[in-house]
Amino acid sequence: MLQIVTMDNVLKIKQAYSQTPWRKQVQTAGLFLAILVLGLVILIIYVDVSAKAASVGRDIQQMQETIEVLERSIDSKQSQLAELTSAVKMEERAIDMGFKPVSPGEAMYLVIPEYAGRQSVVLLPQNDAVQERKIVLSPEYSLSLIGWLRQQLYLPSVP
Amino acid sequence: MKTNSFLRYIILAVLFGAVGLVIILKLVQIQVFLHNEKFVEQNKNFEYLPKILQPARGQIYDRWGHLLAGNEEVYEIGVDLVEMKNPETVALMASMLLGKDYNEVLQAINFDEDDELPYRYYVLARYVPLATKERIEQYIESLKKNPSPALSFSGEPNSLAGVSIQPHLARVYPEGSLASNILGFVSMEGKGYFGVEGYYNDWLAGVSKSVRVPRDPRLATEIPEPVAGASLVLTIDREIQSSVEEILDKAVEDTGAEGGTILVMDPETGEILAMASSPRMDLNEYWRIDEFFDDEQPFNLGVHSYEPGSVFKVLTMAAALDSGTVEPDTVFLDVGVINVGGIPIYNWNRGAWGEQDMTGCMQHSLNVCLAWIATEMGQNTFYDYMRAFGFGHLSGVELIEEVPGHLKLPIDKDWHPADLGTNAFGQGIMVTPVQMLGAISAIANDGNAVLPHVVKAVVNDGQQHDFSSQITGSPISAETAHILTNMLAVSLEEEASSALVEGYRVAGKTGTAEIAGPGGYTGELTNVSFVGWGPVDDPQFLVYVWLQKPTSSPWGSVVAAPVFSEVVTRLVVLMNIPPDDVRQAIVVP
Repeated sequence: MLQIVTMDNVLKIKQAYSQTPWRKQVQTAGLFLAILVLGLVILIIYVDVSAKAASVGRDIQQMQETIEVLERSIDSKQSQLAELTSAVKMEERAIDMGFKPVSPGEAMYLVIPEYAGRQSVVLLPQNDAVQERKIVLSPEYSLSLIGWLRQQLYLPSVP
Repeated sequence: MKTNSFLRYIILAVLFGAVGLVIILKLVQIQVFLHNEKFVEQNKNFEYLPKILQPARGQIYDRWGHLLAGNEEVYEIGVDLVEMKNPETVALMASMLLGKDYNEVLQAINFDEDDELPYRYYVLARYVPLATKERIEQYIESLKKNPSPALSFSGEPNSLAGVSIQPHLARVYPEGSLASNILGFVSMEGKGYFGVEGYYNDWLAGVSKSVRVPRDPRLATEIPEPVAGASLVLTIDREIQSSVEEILDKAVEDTGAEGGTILVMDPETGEILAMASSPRMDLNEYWRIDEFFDDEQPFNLGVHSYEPGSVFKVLTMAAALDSGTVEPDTVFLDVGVINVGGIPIYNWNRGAWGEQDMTGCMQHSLNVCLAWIATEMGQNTFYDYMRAFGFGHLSGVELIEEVPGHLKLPIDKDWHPADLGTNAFGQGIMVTPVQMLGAISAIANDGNAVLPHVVKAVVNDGQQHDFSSQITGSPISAETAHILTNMLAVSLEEEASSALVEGYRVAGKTGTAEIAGPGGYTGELTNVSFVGWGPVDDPQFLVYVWLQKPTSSPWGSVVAAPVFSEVVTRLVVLMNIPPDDVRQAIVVP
């Protein structure tokens, strides 16, 4: 059976479809779901970034505590080493090993060309050409989400 | 049916909506209208944890890098009274492991539940060593596994809940008493006393910093570092210091002296290689200081003033030679007494020594001769030289307890014309051994006096800053210095002094000084000294010996001179100084 499609018919069909209640409900639900999904995505990103920031922050705090522990440990170890190699203990060890103090008459002196003699300790460089120690916190640890997004948008494209 | 269901849904929705709305309104009311400032303030208190960052105290090394003063981890044991469950267990632990009085601790931490706590945290012990801390931790763990209520007086389960262990650094001296008189010590409050610890306290301590550490890890930021304490490198040679201390201790014991000091300095640079003082104390037990020192026995005799006696004649003779008052071969007729300012001055043996040249005056240590020289020189010239030698004011050595001594000048009210005569042989004048080193360095160093110092370098801000040697002046000419050095070497050789060292030519002078008391000079007990340097043709060491009130003999030539010889015998080996003939035969290519 052949039906003649007229402009009037088209408008009627369009009107009939557009006014269908379930279609409107689907559209509303779809919009709601879209907003919900978008909200959830934002929430997930926020939670993810916050969690990462918290995790990194906790790492920083732990590292700072570790640094303090290590610094105390280094100081203690240096002192322990100094005690183990103190003048009294080294002398005791030397005597135990059969050494005895040398008298001026027993010493033999040799000339060593270009030997400037024993030099006093240099604990750190004496000149000015020293790299200054500087701790720089990575921007990821202090950047906000918006700041990070802005930075990513304006980053030059890598070929 | 359909209408009823819908109505129920509506009612439920309204109910939930109303509850939600009430919650939201309450939140708005709390956060915006009601007490919001109070809550914000409370939040701030919990948002950040206040923390004081205390930098580690700078370390102190000897000239070769041996650690003389460092830090070690110790612990503060405390208890949080709010968290505490059983005060009896805590008091018992403090009694057993920390040596505290059980009742005292219990009284301090035990309060009725209804009472308001006067404090929340109570310190049980500070500076607890690692071993004790580990025993406490083991005890805590064992009680967690087995509280054993039967062991508790109150029948409550034993618990060390609330006990906290806080690590921190404390000063430690790995060498014990070695160089203790130079180092000084640090109190529990972190303040340096005596020695370089006192002198450089601000540098060593650094600057602590108060920071607020966020509890929220998302707010964690870089914590600013406190200004670290600077470290010091001393001029002290640990091996020489140790040897000199050993010799000094033996000398004090053998001679029955009350105490003594021996200083070794490089006369060219002013670097003090050793400064031993007796008595000494183990700096790790600094709280026992009262057992060793009092007003009469200072912490460091090396910077304490006394009447030096005849060692001072070296400077009188230097001034006389340099000013042209006398020549080495000037002859003085010693009749055994000279009157200066109305006061008769006698020789040490009250004898008359007849004709003596200047070397003879020094060799026999004639008071009459030196008093005559001073009068010939005149008071202005004499005191000008003494001031140029650095007497009457601090030498500048970096030891906080240094005293300036006392040099009376003709313009002072307490000066008497007789002082010119007595000062010439080292009586009536107060000087420190360090001042004597600084003054006599001019004779051992071609006429140039150097600044005695114990700090070689400061390590700070990632760099080592070396202190350069400083010439404080040239009170005498190089020629005078050489002439006098030779005169003193000859006087030791002709006297066959016990100060001589085989293979090495040394110059020096003994000193025996009477001690002034409330009723005048006692004459029974003396201060004996010796100052010497060598090798004469290229002085590399300057040694000063002072023994207080020896009982074996009152004479410096008997007591102090052999000590000098013993020190130099060790010194030449430790400093790699060959005997004179070997050294002079060495031709450096």
